[in-house]
Amino acid sequence: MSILRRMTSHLDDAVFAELWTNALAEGHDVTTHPHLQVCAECRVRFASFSQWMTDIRVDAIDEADEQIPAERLAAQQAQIFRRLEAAERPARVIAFPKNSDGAMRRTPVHRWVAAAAAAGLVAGLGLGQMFDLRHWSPSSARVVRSERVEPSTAAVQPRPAVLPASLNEEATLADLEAAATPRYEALRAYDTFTPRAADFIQPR
Amino acid sequence: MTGARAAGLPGREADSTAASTVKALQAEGRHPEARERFAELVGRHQRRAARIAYHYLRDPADVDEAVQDAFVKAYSHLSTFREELPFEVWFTRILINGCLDRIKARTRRERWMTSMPDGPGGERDFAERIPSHGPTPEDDLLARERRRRLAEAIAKLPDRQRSVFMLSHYEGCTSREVSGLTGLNESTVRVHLFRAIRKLRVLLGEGAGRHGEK
Repeated sequence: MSILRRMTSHLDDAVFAELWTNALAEGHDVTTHPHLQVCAECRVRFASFSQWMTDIRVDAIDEADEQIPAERLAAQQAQIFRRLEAAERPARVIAFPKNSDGAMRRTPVHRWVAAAAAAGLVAGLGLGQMFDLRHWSPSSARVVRSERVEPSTAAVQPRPAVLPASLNEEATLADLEAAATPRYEALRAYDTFTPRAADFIQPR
Repeated sequence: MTGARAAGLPGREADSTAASTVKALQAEGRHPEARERFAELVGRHQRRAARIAYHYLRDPADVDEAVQDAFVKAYSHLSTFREELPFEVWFTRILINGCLDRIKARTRRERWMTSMPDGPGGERDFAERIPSHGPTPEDDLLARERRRRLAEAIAKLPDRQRSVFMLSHYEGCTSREVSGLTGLNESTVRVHLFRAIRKLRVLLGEGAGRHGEK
């Protein structure tokens, strides 16, 4: 912008903003600006600009004060001092687990008991691998023994891994029958009317 | 011209004395007395701190937390405070950093979590969080509308411009103080302030009574 133009044309918002910034930042006296000294119109406009800036500030501060009233500040202050006090109190250490000291201090007896328990566990696991005791009963033991007496039959037929299903089948079915049969006389009539699974199966 | 100059030098000297005393009392382990003395500093700076935090956060509950955190942090780190910087500047820096962290956390939270829509459009903007009140007289409504527009305009400023504008214009800090608070050099502060004012003038166009070059 030429010097002539600068002298003759009016100031715009950018110049006002610059003047304002310098005044705010460095405390410059705006009224000493050459153009403002000679141009009444720009002085009026700059006064309006200044007023607008002041209004912005007043509005912003009023709003903040409205949102944070004195009571809120008092509560805030009380909370600050509660927190400061709490921060200075020595921290309480809670032992966890309870009596952990006792648990950590082991006597030789404790060690022997622990070792015996571990040995028992290992022995149990070993025996469990050697013998399948899940289906052990005196009668089945007899069957197994009788099978061992006749090796030729065992060689022909595949040796059952557990027990022959037929041996237990009867007992299981008997148990089922007993459980399904009502024990009370009054319920027997209902039982008669109740359809069985077999009723729904189509005869071949 | 501005009438917004900061609290003033006598206050600063009093701050400095109080801060040094609190520091000494803390070092001697006389905590109740240190707290009592620190209350002076809290009383002197709390209102201003709440305003600054409000300009950043625009939510009274967040302001409470930010101001509390700043004072608690200042008290517990008072041993690191060096007297060459005014207490006010040191403390404000703690406060502003806390506010910026909160804004960051809030933005992150809002990115991942869907909140219930607030307005008819469902948008929840930084600038739109001006709590509503019950029915008010017309003047109040107009003032609120003006503030809302101002808050929206301020929110549209880039972060640095916003900080510089708020500290310089609202809090009356000099460019040197703003430089100390923001870590920007003084000429950069002035540039940001100038740009912020110019942008606000454009954003608040109609109400600002713009005048172009004739």
